[in-house]
Amino acid sequence: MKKSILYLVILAFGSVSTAFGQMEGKRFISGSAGLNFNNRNPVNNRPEHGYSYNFNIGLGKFKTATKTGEWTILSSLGGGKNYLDAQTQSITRKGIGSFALGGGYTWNYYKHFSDKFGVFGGPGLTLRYAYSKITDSSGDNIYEQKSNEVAVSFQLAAGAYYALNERWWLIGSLAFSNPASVSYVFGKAESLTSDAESKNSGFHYKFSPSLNFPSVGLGLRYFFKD
Amino acid sequence: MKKLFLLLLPGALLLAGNAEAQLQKGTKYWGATISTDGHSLHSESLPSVESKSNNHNIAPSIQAGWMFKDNRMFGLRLSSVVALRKGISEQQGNKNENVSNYTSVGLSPFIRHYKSINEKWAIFLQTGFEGAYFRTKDKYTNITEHENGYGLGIYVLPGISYWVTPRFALESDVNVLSLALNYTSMEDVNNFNFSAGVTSGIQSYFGIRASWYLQKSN
Repeated sequence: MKKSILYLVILAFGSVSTAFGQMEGKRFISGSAGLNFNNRNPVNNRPEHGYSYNFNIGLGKFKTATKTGEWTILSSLGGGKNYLDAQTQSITRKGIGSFALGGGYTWNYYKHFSDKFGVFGGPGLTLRYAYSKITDSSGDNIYEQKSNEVAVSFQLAAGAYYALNERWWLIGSLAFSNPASVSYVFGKAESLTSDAESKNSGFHYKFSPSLNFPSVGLGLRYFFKD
Repeated sequence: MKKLFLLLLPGALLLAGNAEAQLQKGTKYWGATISTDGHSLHSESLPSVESKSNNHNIAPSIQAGWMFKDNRMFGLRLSSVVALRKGISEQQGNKNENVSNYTSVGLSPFIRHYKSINEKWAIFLQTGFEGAYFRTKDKYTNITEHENGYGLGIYVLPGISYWVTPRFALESDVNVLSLALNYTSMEDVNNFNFSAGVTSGIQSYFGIRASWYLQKSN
């Protein structure tokens, strides 16, 4: 499976193989990050704003010239201030609305086309916890739903790298797949207009052998000095 | 990636195509894939409403084929989708149960044209005709309703195969062109429906199928 993705990518670039040594034993740190701010100032309404970030950091090592093992952590958070206009009243939503934390391990197999450029792909396992708080309305009932999710997923990913110099690589992701996952979700919905309350929980599963193209993302990798 | 994939197709077509061993006349082919997902949810509201919802989907598909000449296969695909949904809510001793089940079985004869790129890779174009039967069952507390339907369709799908071993390959295809006629019969309404689809770009979703190529022992 992992090989198939790798080769699918290789195929796209033509099946050239170049000997590429000196990678073995090298340690690196990879990262990608996203930041987002938005602000809305309507003429006849109240201003709203939002913010979010996400980052992924990995610490890895070339076990052989064409194989890496990498520990990863991921984190994301989103929030802001906006308004919910329900039938009889307006609610201000502000603060952090969601965050997620996770960690995992990824195996990657490389095909180096030159000393500048190559592709890689492989499987990984991720454990993730996510929290979200949503205020919403149905009719004139306004409620706040808090949810927690614990998920374990198996994923396959493929990407390409370009070596900017000896220490820095630019990493691009090309394809991503989440063939198997299980998650447990639990949470609570509390009405803000009455004292109704509800608890909910659930178990989700998925198995789907498929690939997603394209998956666009950019990151950087720094190689530590030996 | 999308572009690379598109560039690859004409490029690969220009390569000289002599039949690789797996694609020679007489080779038998088997392919199978399955996907499944679902959830089981539970919710409790104060003072006294309790609800449960279960949802399970499973979609297996198997296909068999025979190379009637080099690089040309005739095959038959049998695919099925089963979706089971059940919701129960209980309020002060009143129990409501909704069940909705859907089953479809499709049979599709197809012709596949292969073009090998090298001994590990080949691309193919599959043209097929599909007949499907589907049945739904809906149950609300104590009323049960059945619905039967038939569908007919034609499709064209390009795909790619990668041989992990000489006998075992992984393949992926994408539906770019399809025409379908569907007929549904209910207790007192008959429905007729026609749909046609052409996808302009390569879709972002590629299903993967395991396949086996079994050659005649010479």
